[in-house]
Amino acid sequence: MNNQYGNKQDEATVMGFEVPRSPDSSYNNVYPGSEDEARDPPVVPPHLHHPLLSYPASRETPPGSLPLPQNVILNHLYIENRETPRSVVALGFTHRFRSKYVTVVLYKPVPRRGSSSN
Amino acid sequence: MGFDRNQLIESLCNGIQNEATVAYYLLLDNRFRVSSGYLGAEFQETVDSGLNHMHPSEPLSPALGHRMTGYMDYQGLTQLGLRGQSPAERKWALGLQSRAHPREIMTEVLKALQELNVCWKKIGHYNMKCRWIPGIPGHLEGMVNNAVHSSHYFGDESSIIENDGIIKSPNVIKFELQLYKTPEEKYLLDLQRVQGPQFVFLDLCATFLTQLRVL
Repeated sequence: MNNQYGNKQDEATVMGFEVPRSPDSSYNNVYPGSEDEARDPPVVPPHLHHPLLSYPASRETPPGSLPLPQNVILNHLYIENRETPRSVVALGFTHRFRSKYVTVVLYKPVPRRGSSSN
Repeated sequence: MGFDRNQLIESLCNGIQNEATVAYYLLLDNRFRVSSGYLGAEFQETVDSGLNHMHPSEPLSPALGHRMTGYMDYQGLTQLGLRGQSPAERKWALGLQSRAHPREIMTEVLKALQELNVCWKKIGHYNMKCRWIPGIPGHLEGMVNNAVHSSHYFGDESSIIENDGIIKSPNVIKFELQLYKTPEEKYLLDLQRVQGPQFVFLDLCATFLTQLRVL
């Protein structure tokens, strides 16, 4: 049931407890809006505001001694704050690989919007 | 407190860590009541009053003002207590923020997703699961370099879905979108990867941000 290609790397799967994949036809692009409008979106959990990416890097921190990231922040997208206008955007997230954690950051140039915008 | 004011200002501007700057930051933290745990949200309301109260003098406020202005813009609640760090400390914010109405936000988000051939399904309150398959843009979501399944390109849609042929691409990206509300009357769009290669996901996010005209 699981994707054959490398999915087992990302998740700690336990035999017999794999989540079955939802049918792909269920991605039907429908967004029923009416019932949502009555209520506000949920409040953001404060735990998410402390990614490993923001851990201060001071001179005193010996290299390789970052704290373990909280599970709750894993795989959430973080965007680096830079002063506008910015020419580069940095996007990053932390994920788990087996028993270790890997933080990935992508730096990408920001497309310029001239008078002839696309 | 017995520290020489000018020396303190100089040390602060240069990011030097000494007894004076440590004391300064301790007082700052104490004034703003930023806790080290999850409850950093309460600091926001004290920042404005604290700023004016503590730093009426001209030389001091630019140094702090620069830091505070930058900090106020930060969407994340990173601690102010980063003593002795360089002012160019990088801060990372969760997702995207907007002051628009949630309905408008969702409309814009879904429009952008649609333009990028991202499929979605609603799984909760302002919560969606999305799927994107890297392939030929604008084409039927297809596979990359997979001749074995090429016959499915020409089949009708129902057979493609049933056979699940297209989803065997190893690069399929699945992620969840969740719209949250922040304490500051803003809304935050959180993206979380569920499946797929890391850089492909990040690249998709960058494209999504561009499509949303956030970048």
